[in-house]
Amino acid sequence: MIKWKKRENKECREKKMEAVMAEFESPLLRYAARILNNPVSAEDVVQNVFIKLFKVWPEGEHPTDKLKPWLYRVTHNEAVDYIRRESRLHDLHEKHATEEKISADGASANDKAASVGEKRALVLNLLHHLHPREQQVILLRLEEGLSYKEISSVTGRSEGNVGNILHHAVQKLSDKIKTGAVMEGRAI
Amino acid sequence: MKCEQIKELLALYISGDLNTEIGSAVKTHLDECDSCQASAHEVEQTLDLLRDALAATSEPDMKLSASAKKNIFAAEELPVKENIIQGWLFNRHPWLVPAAAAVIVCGFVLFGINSMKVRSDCTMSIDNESLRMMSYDASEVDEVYDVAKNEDLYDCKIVSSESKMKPRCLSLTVGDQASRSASISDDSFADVGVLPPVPELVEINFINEAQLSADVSPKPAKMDSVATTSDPVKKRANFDGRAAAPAETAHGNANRADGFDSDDLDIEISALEEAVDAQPEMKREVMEKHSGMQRKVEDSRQRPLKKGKAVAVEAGSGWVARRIGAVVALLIIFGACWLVLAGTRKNG
Repeated sequence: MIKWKKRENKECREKKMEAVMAEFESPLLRYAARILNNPVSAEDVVQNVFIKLFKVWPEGEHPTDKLKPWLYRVTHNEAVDYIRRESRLHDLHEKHATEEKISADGASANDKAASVGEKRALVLNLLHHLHPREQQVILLRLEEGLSYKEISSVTGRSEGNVGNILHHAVQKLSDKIKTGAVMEGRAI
Repeated sequence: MKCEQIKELLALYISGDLNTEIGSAVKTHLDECDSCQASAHEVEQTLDLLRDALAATSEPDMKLSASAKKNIFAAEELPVKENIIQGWLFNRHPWLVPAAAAVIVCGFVLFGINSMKVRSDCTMSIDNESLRMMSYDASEVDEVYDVAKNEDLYDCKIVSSESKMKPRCLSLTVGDQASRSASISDDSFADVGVLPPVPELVEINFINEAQLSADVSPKPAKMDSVATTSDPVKKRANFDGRAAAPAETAHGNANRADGFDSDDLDIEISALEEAVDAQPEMKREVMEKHSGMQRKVEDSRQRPLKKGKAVAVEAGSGWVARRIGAVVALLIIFGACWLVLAGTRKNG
């Protein structure tokens, strides 16, 4: 009887987990891939995140509003840990990714398209060189579309502080893009 | 609003994250200020570029591989691979870390207070022949030692070593007869909180009863109360280092074979009379101080010179307050550690 009940509980938990995974796997993979600049590593990170969720999720509990910020927070922490652990590998991946992107854009399109591809590659490269905290705010706001309240919940910072980080990050990118354009001798 | 303030809000304004009131203020400023307008244009371009780059390189439907999903569900079945000590500590006995932290901190609080309290204490004990002073403050003991040495009234001896961890002890024993008589007019010991020793009073008491009931009558009544012994003659004999001589025998027989000499007694009486006549006011003052100190000495006789006991007696209501404070601190520390640990584990 106990064994049967335990099995039922397990099946119930797995169903809930599957539902959560179906909802969040794509945005979390995307977010982790942005931070890590590597989709394969992102899968490892997100896998760890769901394993952690499975372990800490109390039996009989249903997902709440806190789940989404929790998942993004743990994903970010896992990704940053991964970068620290694999810093050398990360640098390598980053270099390859940038080179591939630029060469692909340059080879396959006309002058105008190549220029657009370079711009994108440049801005993404600059984005990856921002502080993880700034990357986090930009990605959550501009790519994942989280509200300031949600970002505040993910980062543990006040909404004002989040706005401030976003402003400084965008300003930094703007200055670097301008500098890069001047160095290359053309406006971006 | 100034241009610097506006520039700080541009990113939020362009991404539509400002509220209506501030947004309209920024818009009004941008209509009037070319410099801010140029900055806004730059920020807008950057944000557009960012959005475009992110959208173009984004994979909208990324999925975990089947093997990754399998790993996730299999992880619950697998035994947790973690450090044995860590697992024992955090999983089986999660209360142990906060409890240990709380106990350590409270131990420091309690023993720290006790240690400080004891160190500030100066304990004295006195008997009929000697005074013993014990304090962690070496200067306090040395002060008394210097006074006693200068006055040449006592045989002084510092008993303890120089170690700061141990109390410094001073032992004062009664000196010769002439010195004791002179000390009746000396209140320097009262100033530093040390008694003129009991022998003075006992001598006077003896004289009063045996020989000088009329002449030494100015003696304050407190002298009787201070000399609590019922056998003053015996005490006198102790101080003199001679054999005991009963009062009635001394009174009637001046030349006894046991060595009690009535000539000595006469000398003592004269010396005492001189001392009493010379400074009766000072004597009374000293006697009053003496009687107050005597009560403290009686108290100190009843309690042993043990740190814990002395602290418990001295501490009073403060002791209870400190203990309650320590328990509250313990609970707070325990709760804080628990929350920190729980938060750390929850956030991975």
